[in-house]
Amino acid sequence: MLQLLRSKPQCVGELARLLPVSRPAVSQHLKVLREAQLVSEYRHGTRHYFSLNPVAFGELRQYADSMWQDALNAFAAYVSSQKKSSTEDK
Amino acid sequence: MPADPVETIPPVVKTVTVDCTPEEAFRYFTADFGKWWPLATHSCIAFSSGHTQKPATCTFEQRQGGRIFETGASGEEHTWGTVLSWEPPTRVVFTWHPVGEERTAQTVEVRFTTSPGGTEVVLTHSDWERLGALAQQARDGYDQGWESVFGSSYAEYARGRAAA
Repeated sequence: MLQLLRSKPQCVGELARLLPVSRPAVSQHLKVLREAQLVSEYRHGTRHYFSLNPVAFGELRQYADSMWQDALNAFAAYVSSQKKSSTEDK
Repeated sequence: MPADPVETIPPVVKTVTVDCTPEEAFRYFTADFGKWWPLATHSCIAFSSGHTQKPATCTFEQRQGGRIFETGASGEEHTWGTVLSWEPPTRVVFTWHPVGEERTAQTVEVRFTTSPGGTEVVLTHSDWERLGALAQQARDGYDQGWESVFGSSYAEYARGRAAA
């Protein structure tokens, strides 16, 4: 979807036509992208268009920071659970 | 050519202490990778299914040149990275491109050191400049790989934030 948005702003109907997913799925995906501030929307006449935002690259790094925190927390929890069990896990 | 210089991007560094020996920690991290990695929220299948599905397994091959990959229910594989250095029990280094392309992969190093609490595990995610250059190019409008990396990763993060 982002590749389509990169070429030019699109409206939901057009995106749903071009992509192998349902229109509600497209709307839902656009909602997530909008919350992530990757796309912005504007109205033109009766249509609602979405376009790609240029964004600060540091946000991806920020995402990675939280992802690795989650991952290492899960790792630590796993090690704890392994140590608690009396037999080696195979 | 990018119009602006690529900014210097500091690595992500994360530390955790686990109550076991470095040998055990190294083994748990690598051999048991699929058992502890949060697959339901952090995997390609989870993202592309809107967190409704997760991979069947996730594998960390135990050797230099080994692959890290998730496997879906139908057997489809998606590679997250490749092991660059295999140095048990001290260190493992691998490329990282779960939602991007190999050519813009970053590098992740995990070090295991004896510490008072057991083993200190330090994870460093670096080489962001490889992705930064692509982001610059994407902004200039002539490269496509960036959006899939940035878009899917960040959109997933946003989804996670929205759901929290």
